[in-house]
Amino acid sequence: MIRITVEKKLSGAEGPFTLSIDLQMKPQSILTLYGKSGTGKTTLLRMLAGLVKPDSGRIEVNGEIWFDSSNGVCLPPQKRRVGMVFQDYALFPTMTVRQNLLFAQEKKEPRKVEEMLELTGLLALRDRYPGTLSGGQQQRVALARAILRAPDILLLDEPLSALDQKTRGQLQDEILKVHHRFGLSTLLVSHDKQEVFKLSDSVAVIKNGCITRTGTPHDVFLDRITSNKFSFVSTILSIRKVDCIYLAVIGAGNELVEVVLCERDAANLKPGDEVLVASKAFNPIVMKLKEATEPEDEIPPI
Amino acid sequence: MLSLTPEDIQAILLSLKVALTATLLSLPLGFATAWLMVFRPFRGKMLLEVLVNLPLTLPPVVIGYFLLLLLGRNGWAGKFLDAWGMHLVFTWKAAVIASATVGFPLLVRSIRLGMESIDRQLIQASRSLGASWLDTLLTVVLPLSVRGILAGSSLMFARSLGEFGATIIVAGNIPGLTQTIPLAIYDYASSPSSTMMALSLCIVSVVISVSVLFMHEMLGRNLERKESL
Repeated sequence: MIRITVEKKLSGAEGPFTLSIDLQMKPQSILTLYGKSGTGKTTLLRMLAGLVKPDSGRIEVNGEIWFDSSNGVCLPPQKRRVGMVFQDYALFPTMTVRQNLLFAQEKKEPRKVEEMLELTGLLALRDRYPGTLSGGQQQRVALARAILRAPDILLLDEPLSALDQKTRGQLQDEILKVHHRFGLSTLLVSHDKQEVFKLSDSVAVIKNGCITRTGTPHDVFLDRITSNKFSFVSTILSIRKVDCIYLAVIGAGNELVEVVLCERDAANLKPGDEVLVASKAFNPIVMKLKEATEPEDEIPPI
Repeated sequence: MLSLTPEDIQAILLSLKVALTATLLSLPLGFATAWLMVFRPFRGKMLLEVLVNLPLTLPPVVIGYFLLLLLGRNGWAGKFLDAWGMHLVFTWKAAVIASATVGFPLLVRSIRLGMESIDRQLIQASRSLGASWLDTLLTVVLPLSVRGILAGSSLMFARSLGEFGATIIVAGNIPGLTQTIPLAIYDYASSPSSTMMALSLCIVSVVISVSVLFMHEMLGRNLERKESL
């Protein structure tokens, strides 16, 4: 069991705020911290890793106290068994892929490194330097390195945010595969709803330094007030008048949708407004494009 | 053509010996000082910075004079060394100390620039992967500072080759013993009949300097090639 109760004063873009978190994690599960940037998600990960010291609180991981302000306990980063995967990978540029992986092991076991290279499909790249790898390959190395540390908790700080859609999907599958194999308790930071939905067992939504909701991704993201059959929240990109109707272009994930607005709505809305797009009476058409190796795509409504 | 007397050859060899010794001796201390300045914020850091950079702004003659006061028979370091039977002033070792003092800020500056460009996240990654600060220093910081160390060493070596003001005061200008290339050129330049001799040593100086710069470039390129494999 992992119990985190921490408080720390932070200075955000909109002035100082207090990060106040009380969180429990089931072992071997993936918990995602979801929220806008600058709400303290990354800081929380860094507190767990021992890179940032909380003002007060307590961090307990599998019965071991890592931090306790009441009696001055604060383990240094190297004494905490964490596998941290940074947003921009943080691979050592002077070491080969294999040396990067070996670095994570306390007792050097080259055989285990080879196994991990094989598992993550990095065997052919073992003697390359990180500077010559693609973003996806680098992130794979970073993940393999974090797992080889044999951590009590795996910390993923927006690990896929710098990658393109396709690589991101592949790496999400890989994270799941590795998770099933090693069963590591994983704390993920992400602001990509699809990613959170696909990867996590539970979600904690952080807003202004506090957890406002927790639950399964389904509960947190799909529980809306109205009983819409189909809906999503997005931003209006443009509005134009065609003959006597108004057409608005709205982003939906990576796609664009064009919807008709009546005159009254058009007068009320402007590009940049956040809107709920919903269809009550009609069910959207769902057509299969590809078998399930990749996540199914829903056809956006016309 | 080049006309070099046996004394000239001795001066060339001595110059190389002094510059190399000064650079190698300063490297560990320079690395430690740069590391302290970049990674360990402490009280009095400003004072250390001023102290380290002082030789860069002081006239070398002034440094030489201070060293003479310090290391001479009546200086406090001199007295201490005398008790151990060591006598530094007017030996080649004094020339090494003069060169090391004058070149040290250049060395520290270069290593520091190299260290400052290291992504802090790499150090944090290293710590979170279980490495102590010493491990991190040796396996992450040191290899990533190699470029800075290389640049600093070349600069310091070149600066030591050209050291004049501090050396002449603290080591003197004794042919065959403490006379380095710049001191020999100074001797030749003061007599009008030795223009060719002075010019020859000047050419040797240029050749050494160019070689140092070439070597520096080549080593830098080797590093680059290795990391883009």
